[in-house]
Formats: sequence, C-alpha cells, structure tokens
Amino acid sequence: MYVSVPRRRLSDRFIRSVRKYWIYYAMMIPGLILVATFSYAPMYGIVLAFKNFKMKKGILGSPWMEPWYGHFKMFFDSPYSGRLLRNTLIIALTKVVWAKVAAVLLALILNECRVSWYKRVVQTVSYMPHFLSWVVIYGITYLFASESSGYIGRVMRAMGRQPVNLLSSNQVFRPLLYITHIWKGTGFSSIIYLASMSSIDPTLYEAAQVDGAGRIQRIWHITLPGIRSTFIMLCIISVGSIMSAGFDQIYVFYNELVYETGDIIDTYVYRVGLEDMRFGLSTAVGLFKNAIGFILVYATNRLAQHWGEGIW
Amino acid sequence: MVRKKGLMTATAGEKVFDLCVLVILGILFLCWFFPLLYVLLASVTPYKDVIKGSLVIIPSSVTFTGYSYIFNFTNIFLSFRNTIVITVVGTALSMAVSVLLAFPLSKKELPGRALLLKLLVFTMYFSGGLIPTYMVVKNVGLQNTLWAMIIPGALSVYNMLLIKSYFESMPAALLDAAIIDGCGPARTLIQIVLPLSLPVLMSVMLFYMVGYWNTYYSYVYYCYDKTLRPLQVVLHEIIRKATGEAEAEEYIPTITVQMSAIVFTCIPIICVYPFLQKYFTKGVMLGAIKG
Repeated sequence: MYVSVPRRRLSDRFIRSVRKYWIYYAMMIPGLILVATFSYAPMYGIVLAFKNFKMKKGILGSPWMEPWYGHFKMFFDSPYSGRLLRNTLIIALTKVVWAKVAAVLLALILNECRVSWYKRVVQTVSYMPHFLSWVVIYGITYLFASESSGYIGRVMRAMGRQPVNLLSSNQVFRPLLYITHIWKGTGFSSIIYLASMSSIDPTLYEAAQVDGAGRIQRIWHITLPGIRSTFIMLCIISVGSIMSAGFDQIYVFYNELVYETGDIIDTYVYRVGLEDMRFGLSTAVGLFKNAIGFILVYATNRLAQHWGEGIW
Repeated sequence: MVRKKGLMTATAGEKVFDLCVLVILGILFLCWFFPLLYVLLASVTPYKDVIKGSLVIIPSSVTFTGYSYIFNFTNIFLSFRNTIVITVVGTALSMAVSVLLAFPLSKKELPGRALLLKLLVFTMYFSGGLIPTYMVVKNVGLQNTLWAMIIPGALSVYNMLLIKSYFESMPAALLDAAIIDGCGPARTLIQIVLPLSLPVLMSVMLFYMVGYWNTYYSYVYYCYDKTLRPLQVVLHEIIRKATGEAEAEEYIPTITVQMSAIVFTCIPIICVYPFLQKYFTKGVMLGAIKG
C-alpha cells in the first residue's frame, strides 16, 4: 500500500499535466522532431566508427571491426595523424587567442571614442564582414593575394621583387587564415564586450577621475576588471572549440599545396568520408575529435562552476 | 553619449588621447572598408587596367562587362533562384520552429522542461559527426533535394535559446492577465508575446537569413545535382576557376568577372543589413547576459 499510493499519484499528476499543458507540448513537436532526427539519430550512427562498413549490408549488418579500435589505430598509425593534430591545435589556439585579444582591444578603443557618430560608423562597417560568407572573403583575399593579379603581388612587383602565390604558400597560409578570421569576426565579437562595458557603474569612472586617474589608468583599473567575468565566460565556451580549427574557412581557402600547414581534422574527416567513401575511418576520426571537444567543455565548465562562473 | 562638460576638463594629455583614439579608429575603419570598396571598384574596372595596376583607388574607366558576363555566361541566375527559395522557405520554417519551441520552454512550470533543455543544450556541444548525419539525411530521403539545404539545419538551438530567454524576461503579470481574460496559450503567443519580442525576433531572423543565404556546406555534403547549386557554390567555382583548381573549362574568368560575382552575391545582405543592425546588437547582448 505504501508503495502504490505515490505511484498512482505520479501517474495522476502526469495525466493532469498533459491535459493542462498539451498545447505547449504540441507546439514543441516540430522542433523536437528536428532535434531527434538530425542531432540524436546521427549519434546512433557513431557505431560506424567500430564497424567495417559495407554499403550493401547497411549499418546493422556490417561486421564489427577486428579489433574494435581498428579505425582509430589506422588513423594514429597513418603519417597524417601527427600533422592533422598539430595543424588543428595550432590553428585553433592561435585563432582563439588573437580573436579574443582583437575583440577586447576594439571594444576598448570604441568605448573610449567620444564622437558618437564616428563610433557608430566604425561599428557599422566592422560588423559587416561577420555576415559575409567565407566564399566571399576568399574572393576578397584572392583579389589581394593572388599571384597574377593580386594587389600585394603588384606592389611586390613594383618594388622589384618576385611575387609568390600567397594562397599556395605554406609559410603564408596560416597567417592568412588568422588575418581573415580576425577581419571577419572582431567587430561582431566586440559587441559583447561593449555591452558589458556599458553596464559598468559610471560613478566608478568619476571617482577615479577625482582621484586623479588618467584615461589609461581608468581603463586598466575599471574597464578591464569590469569585463572580466564576460571574458572568462567566453573563454570557457571557446575551450570546446579547441579541436575545431574552422572547417568553414579552411575548406574554402585551402588546396593540396598547403596540406602541410592547413589540413585539419575536419577537412580530413570530410575528404576521407565523402570523397573516399571510407565511412568507418571518417566516423572514427570525427568521434575522436567530438569526444575530446565535449570532454573539454564539460571539464572546464565543472571547474568554472567550482569557482562560481559556470555557463549553464 | 554626451559627456558631462564639468567633469571632463580636457587637459592636453586628454586631448592627445582622444586624438589617438580617433586616428586608430580611422585606420581600423579603412582596414574594413577598403577591401570592400576595392572589390566594388575592381568589379567595374576593365581587366587590362586591373592587370596593369592602374587601379589603386580610382578606376580609370568604368565597365559593366563583368556583370554582363556573369548574367549571360554563367548559370548564376539559376543558383540565385535556388538560394532565394532556400532563404525564404528556410527562414520562415526556422522562425516558426524556433518560436514554437522557445515559447513552451520559457514556461518555468512546464513539466519536463529541465530535461528537454538539457537534451537541447547537449546537441550544441556534441554531435554524431559528418558521416552519421550524412547517413540520416540520405535515409530520410533528403539527399540531392533543395530540402537538404533547409531542414537539417533548420533549428539552431542557440537562436532558440536567445528567443526563449527574451520570452522569460517578459513581465509574468502581463501573461497572467491574458490568461485570466480567457486567452489560450496559442493566442497569448501570437497576440501578446510575439509583438512584444520584435527586437529578438528580428535579430534571430537576420542570423537565420544570413545563414541560409550563405548556404554552402549542406550542398557540398548532401547534394550533387548541379541544378541545385546555391549561389555561394557557384561563386566559389567562379573564383576557383582562375586559380586552376577546377576542371579546365572553356573560359577563365577575369578578376573583373569574379568581383562582379562577389558584389552580386552580397547585394541582398548589404541591403537588409542596415535595417536590422539596430536589432542584432540587442540580440547579441541578450546572448551575453544569458549565456
């Protein structure tokens, strides 16, 4: 008896809440179907990483890999794994660091600008590239950096130097990625910092000024501490992307000549998977990447919650 | 922002500082503006002038051969049509799905809400990966249709959460009053909540629209029919052809043609952008506050 009473109540409560909230649940159906189909159903496909996939037999019918970690072993034994990991980590880390620094600096400078129309014009043009596709930005880069007719090539020729094709140069490829990444994203990323700067109590600045603090001292002692928590939160979020060096950008920019410095895990997953049709290997490498990314986000967030700055 | 004159007694040091700020911002402005302007100029400069290098800032003469070439000799119009269909249908679908998911989730008393939120947020940080998703798209029968570029990415959990947190910030008394007046959930959403959420809806709509307009990878992943190519794919081919990457075809597009194609691709975004700019700043700030 003691057990059955709460059980009945629970089901009772369930029925009552469904009756009361059914419209809300009905509203969510389309969205939940999308998530179930395109986010959760693929998670079942992860078993491909451990299968010797045969197109004719399907996912279930294909035999298991012998040993189960066969695809992973194949990847780590291949000569590419070192290069891919190195490129991915270097590009992702450098991008994160520079993008953060650039966005904070831009926000600081914009925040110090006292001519409001001037500030607005700069902001407007700085947000613009965020909405352009990587293909368009590749086109703009091409206009400046191509060997035959690029702007930089012409300047070099005018200076009497032999122009090189910057888009196929292993020395230049990564800096090119960084520059275009910063050009595209800095304006938009600075919005968040500007927002958190505008929520700093203005009396702090006035008090500091009365105490004789100059502009730079005010930035150092008031503005920067004021955006600290936003900055930390964004850092935590970007930890998870440390394995994602930016497929969107690199796939559009790279070519075989710059695989040495520009080939990353995601581009490899794409080529092996959809060009060579080696589904098992591609899924395994993708899983390796996603799992590490997820573990990193989870761990950092746990740590941050411990310090009281969690993201969820 | 108007500063109070009394406090800001401008010393010489302050003036120098202000001047430095203006100069740095001016340089930054040029860093963003000059490449965009240069693309526009290169699209109307005759190719031989571009090669010679006479185009530095002002083109020597103006030509529209680049534009007439892309309209006459490439199938950019077909892909333009594809992209418009994807953008219009996709944005409408995405907005509907997101709003319908966000509204119930903004009800704190909804049973099962916490679990659903956890499941949704999880998908932002972990995914099955390229091939498993490809297999699903293929098995559902979307492969090689325009829908493949719309449906798989129709719901952005991040955008949905932006809308949700805006709904949550609405005064509860207002919604309670509506319910007391006999307003059902659907009517409350349409007649009261949506009209009051214009800023967040506009910014999320802009994000979705731009996302669909820039459709590229979902074609590369899921489609091979050339008549389905979206604008960005054709643009990439036009630019790549000159670098000798694509299969050798009859004609190598000149810089003028390439830049004309870029300008053509960007026009809609540049047209929409100024109207929605005031909204998306708010949208991003909201995201910052709510995380």
